[in-house]
Amino acid sequence: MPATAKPKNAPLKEWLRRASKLSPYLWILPALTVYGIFKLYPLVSGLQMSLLRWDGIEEPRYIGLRNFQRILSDEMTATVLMNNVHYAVGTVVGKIVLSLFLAILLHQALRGRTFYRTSLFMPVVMSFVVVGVLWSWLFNPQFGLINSLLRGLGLDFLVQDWLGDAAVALNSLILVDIWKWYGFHMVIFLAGLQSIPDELYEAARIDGASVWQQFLHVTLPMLHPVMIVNVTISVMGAFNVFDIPFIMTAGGPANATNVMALHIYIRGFKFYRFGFSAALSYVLLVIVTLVAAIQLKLMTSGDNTD
Amino acid sequence: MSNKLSRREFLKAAASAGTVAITAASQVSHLPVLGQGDYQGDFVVMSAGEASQQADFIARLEEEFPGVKVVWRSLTSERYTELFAAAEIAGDQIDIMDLNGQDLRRYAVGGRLKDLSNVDYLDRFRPIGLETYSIGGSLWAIPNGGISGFPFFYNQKALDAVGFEGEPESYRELLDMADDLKAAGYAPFTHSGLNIYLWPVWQFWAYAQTSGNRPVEGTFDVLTGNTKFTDPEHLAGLEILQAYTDDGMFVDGVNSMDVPAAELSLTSGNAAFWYHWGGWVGTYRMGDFPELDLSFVNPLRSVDDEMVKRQLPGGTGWATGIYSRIAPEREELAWAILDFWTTDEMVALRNAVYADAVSTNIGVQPSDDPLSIRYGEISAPNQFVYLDWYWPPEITRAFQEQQQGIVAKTVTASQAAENIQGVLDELYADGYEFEF
Repeated sequence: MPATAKPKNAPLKEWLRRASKLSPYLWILPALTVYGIFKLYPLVSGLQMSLLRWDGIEEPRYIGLRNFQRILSDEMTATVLMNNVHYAVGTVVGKIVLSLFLAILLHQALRGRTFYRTSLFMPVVMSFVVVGVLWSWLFNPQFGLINSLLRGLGLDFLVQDWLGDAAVALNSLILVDIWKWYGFHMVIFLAGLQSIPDELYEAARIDGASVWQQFLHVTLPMLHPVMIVNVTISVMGAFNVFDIPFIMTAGGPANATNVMALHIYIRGFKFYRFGFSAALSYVLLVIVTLVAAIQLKLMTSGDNTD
Repeated sequence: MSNKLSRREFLKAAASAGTVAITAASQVSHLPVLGQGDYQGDFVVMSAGEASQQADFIARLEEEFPGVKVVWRSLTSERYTELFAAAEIAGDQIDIMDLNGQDLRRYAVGGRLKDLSNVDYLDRFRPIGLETYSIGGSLWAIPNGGISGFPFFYNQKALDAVGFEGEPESYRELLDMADDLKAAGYAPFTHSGLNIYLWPVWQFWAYAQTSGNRPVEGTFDVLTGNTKFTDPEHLAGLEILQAYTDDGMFVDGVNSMDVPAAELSLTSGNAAFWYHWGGWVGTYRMGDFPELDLSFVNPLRSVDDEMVKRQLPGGTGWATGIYSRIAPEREELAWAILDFWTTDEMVALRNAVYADAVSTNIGVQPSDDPLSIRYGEISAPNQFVYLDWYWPPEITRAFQEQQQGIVAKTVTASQAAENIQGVLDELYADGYEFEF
């Protein structure tokens, strides 16, 4: 056999070499396909739809950016956005404070700690419909537990028309949202707490730090990355909220609980303005992205990434 | 012996067989006017109704049309629009559209239904159903199911407790007994105010009175731009709601009451009146409510003119029609199925499912319940079609929001009327045209 002759199986080896370069892409192809069909395609076709006037019956008509212009001139846009901001402030503060407090409490060596952790996590796994119906009854002004309890304790001045009073209804929904999700954030904080080395607390104690000082100067700084995750998730959740207002108030009374996602739904599936609704969805996407970016920037501005 | 038939023998046999077949067919009174053609296979119904509730109905259809499998797609009323659009875009098979009456206008005007004006069995149905499902002089769907609406339910025990004798007729009477009712532990009126969708019915009955019993004509006038929602007769309807609010007629926290809560306030003896759908009689009969002796009247007269009739809003059953783009090979079958679907026998099945008081079909008496019979006698003749079957959805939503606002005292009736007219003006500016 001449020395220069190629081995017989050289093409096969070459093919295998090339295939091995492709294999990572082949492995992720199924996930990419699913992502493309269910995420990317709707995202692109939604943008296309936002430039149309379409009621689901007549032929779609291209109208350029008119849907976006209308969003700016629609008074309801400001109303629902302000409701979203109110909702975000209420839920983010409420969820973060409550979940952090509970996480610290359940990080201690308590008897029955697992039971408490599981119990407090329960609302997270409950369906929105169940939560909505449950709280609608708790808030019921006639038969509800909350007003009955307040009356029983002699706190009649605190009795409210929880879902029927335009000044109170959104705060009532914020309360429900906090109750539904604090367990989720609590678990994330717990994971963060468990990763803080005991030596730091030990050193702080040796230096004479009080419990409060330990919390302020050890726990909080060490929880910073986890805090960013929790705040980001709850801010995005607050701007995308739909289920609780939809189930409990349908946006009422008199739009007091109408939020952007519900507004999109009503414009699309009640008024049959699918193009306008798609445009609103893109506005919401931009708002959520901006808010999340600003919040991340603010929260990470002092970080030393090295 | 030869097995061959001569031509003469074959013709004689064929003629005999034909005669027998024709005679047999004539004995079966409910045989469809048209045959099912050659089609056998799936036949798709896009319905707002639940398939599980139609099991007997579907089985009977399949029995009548051998070889046809009825595929009942339950789109539900709330999601009909989006799911129907999705099915259409995907090119799914669609044969029959079984709609809630409120959606008929959208699909009739949008050209998705065949014109049914020339079917020859219209004498089966009460005229109000046919009138309701006619748009632009053509019939687009066959009414089938129950005729029902929203009367004022009341607890006779509450009226007895305050010594009220006879049947309440006017708002003045309710106002006069209100303090006594409250003293006896009854709120004068409960309503499912949390359910935003249940507010427009208040405007329907009130406007029927303030318009001098011209609710539908008046609605056509306002939707074609000849009148405005700020005009006195419309405003007066909203002012009636404001009067109920200002006079303290509603149960505390009415905007927080969902349907079960409002139901509970009536059944537990905490409220005297309840404005709700007449079909609730079925729930009352099946339940055990010791604090409740149920009766109802048509909406109380709330205008000064005693000649005004106390009308109530209602619907006229399912609106069932043939999809205009049905495949040619199934069209003959669809006509035959629609005919059979709306026979007395089949409509009685649907009436039974929903415990209807009055049937769309003249030949069906669905219930012998005294309250159902009473509905047929005093309410059905005074019923007019829910006005939001004509309103564009933006106006329906505007009424829902503004009426809740009146009850929550965040807007006055006149502000509400202006806001609603503002929505209509925007629609006009956007090219809206009402077709009737």
